[in-house]
Amino acid sequence: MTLHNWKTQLRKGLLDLCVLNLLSTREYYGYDLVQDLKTIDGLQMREGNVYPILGRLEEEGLVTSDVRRSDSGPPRRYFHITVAGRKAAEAMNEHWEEINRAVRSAKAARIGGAR
Amino acid sequence: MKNESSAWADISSKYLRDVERALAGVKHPRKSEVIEDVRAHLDEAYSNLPPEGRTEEAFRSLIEEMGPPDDYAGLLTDADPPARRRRYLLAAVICLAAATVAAWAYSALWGSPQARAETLFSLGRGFSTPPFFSMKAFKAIKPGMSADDVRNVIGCPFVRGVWSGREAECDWDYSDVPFSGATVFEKLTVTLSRQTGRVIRTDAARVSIPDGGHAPRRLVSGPLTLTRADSSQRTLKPSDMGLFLLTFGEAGTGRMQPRELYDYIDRSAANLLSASGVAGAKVIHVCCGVTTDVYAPEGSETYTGWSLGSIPDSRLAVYANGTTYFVPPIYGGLSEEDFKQDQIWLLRKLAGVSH
Repeated sequence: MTLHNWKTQLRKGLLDLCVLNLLSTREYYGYDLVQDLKTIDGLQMREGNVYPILGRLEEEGLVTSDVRRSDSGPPRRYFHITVAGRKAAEAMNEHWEEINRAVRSAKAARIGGAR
Repeated sequence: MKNESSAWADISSKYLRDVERALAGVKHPRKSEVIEDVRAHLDEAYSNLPPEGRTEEAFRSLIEEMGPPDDYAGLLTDADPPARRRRYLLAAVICLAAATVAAWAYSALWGSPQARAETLFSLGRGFSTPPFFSMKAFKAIKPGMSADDVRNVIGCPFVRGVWSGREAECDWDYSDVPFSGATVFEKLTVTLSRQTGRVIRTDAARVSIPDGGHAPRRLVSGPLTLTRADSSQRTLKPSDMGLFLLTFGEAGTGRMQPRELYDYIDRSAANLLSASGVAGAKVIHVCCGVTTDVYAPEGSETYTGWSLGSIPDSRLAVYANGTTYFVPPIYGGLSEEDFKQDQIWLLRKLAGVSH
């Protein structure tokens, strides 16, 4: 596996989590969500990626959406996180932190052993 | 030479056709919505280009940023083509090791109190940014929008008021006050007509505070510790499920006796939950006033202190998912009824109930 492939897979897994975390803060319409996701360093997402992810998360009941008129153009579809989505995000964040702790302690043990 | 809009129509249509083709073999109930969302995204991206920037080169750059059409199927179904499965499995294992890098990034973002305060909101008079607010969303507020539209875009205001001589209007204040010591902040106001309930105008102004005489921001994320009269404690944690409706009172300060106050607050909380249609929220009373006689209505929990210090101007808060959300306080001669919609909106929002 190349570093490029590895980074691609890592980003893909994190996109779901980042989408749910942003939707935990407020509702978004797609374009708006993409703009905020793009500000997350290291994610390097492609703008179109977010729509199939939102479609899948909606089908899984983790987000819902409704279409509203917009004063500045065509109607917009707003996405909201559901209770199940919040629980999923919470579990994912906890798991993420567990992994972080585990990797950190493994790294610390390795450094300690090298002394 | 083609004109710009027809060049864009050609380029964007081709991309959409490619996406449709890439999804042709995918059976997924949201497939057509995804394509429509991509179409809307492209429309918006085009409309955001300045007239002088509408060149074929810019259009191709927009399409490039969308990513390859072949990526859509895998992201929508989350199913890996058989030939790639082993590779993905290996990648998943390696991703775990990659957490070190991400842990560093996470720590850099959330590790310092200041960084967290910059990204979160806080509470009280003259303090902070309300939940769900962003400057970008504020700019999307337009005259004619309803109060609900405003809430759905930028949440409830921190403060609202009706001012002398402008009794027909109500200002919703979303001001973002800086850290202690700064002398200038952005005053952000949405003004609604009290008669129609619709936005009349928005205003963003830089306001000077020469003496820096405002309180610092306070963090409202993370665990929340509540202290009972006997000094025992309970801590609400981010991992606690469900919503906790916190009420605040100042019993013993002469305004109301504890029993009278807490019966009133308890009824108000029950009415609010009922009107919101949010079931299962736990009501917790926090009495931070000067009192030695703490009265707990039957079935409720009452505490005499909490880890955020004095009681906030907002007399209601909701603890959910590790964050304390403050319900907008009542100011400027407005009645409790004026704020009921904010309270209901916030509860329903946090409970994930559709508006």
